Amino acid sequence: MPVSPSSPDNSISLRVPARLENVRRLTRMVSDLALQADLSERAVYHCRLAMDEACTNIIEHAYPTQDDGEIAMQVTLQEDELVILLTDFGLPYDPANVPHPPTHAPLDRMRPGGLGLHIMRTVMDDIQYRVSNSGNHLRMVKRRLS
Amino acid sequence: MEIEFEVQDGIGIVHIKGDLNANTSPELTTFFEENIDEEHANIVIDMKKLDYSSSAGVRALLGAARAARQNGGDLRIAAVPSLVARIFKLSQFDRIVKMFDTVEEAVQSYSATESSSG
Repeated sequence: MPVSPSSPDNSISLRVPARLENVRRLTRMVSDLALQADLSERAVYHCRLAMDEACTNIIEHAYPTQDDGEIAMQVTLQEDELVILLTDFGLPYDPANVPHPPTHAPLDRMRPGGLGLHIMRTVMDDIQYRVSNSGNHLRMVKRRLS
Repeated sequence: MEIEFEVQDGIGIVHIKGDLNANTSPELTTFFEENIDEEHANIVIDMKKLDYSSSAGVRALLGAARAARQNGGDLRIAAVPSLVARIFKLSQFDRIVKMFDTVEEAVQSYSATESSSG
């Protein structure tokens, strides 16, 4: 599997083919860094969950018909927070255009990706999405004391 | 992910172990398609050894619950680890299926339902 890892003490960068079988590897790397940052068990689980949902959304919605897409991940451990930056090079998928589901929205009627996005928004402290010439960039933050 | 299946007093008990995510949930969906029918429509999912579930896992379970009900039965969940319970709450799956602390309680709930309904 072609990967390009680099790992300074407080940062991990990796670029992998956008395939479901690679998601576990990415989420595990984030979990390991979150553990290293002394985040609580619950916070580590939330980071893993958000990563899983974000990568799955990229694979299913940024690359719906493309099997040679890639996901670039950069995770940085800062003083008070863990910052996850995911970049894909497929179709833009702007979370801002997906409304929060109503409290009683039937689970099976949510739009594709909507549940994953709802979970990411709920378990992370901040989420931002930016489209540029270099790709679609999703930035997620988990604060140490959240 | 590992799946084990047993039938106890006419109730299908599915033991799930490991991770339930977009990569593994199709296996669970296939398992349910092959094993839920009119004869085995009352299902209990034992999650005691489930380490993790993403929204893809929730969707697979939702599909199984729907299939069980269409066959005249139900799907009930037992022994959900606390971290996994979080995503059931976030997705409101906990409003759609009944949850029990143990497999025994979930199995017994079916006979209680039958007794109360006549």
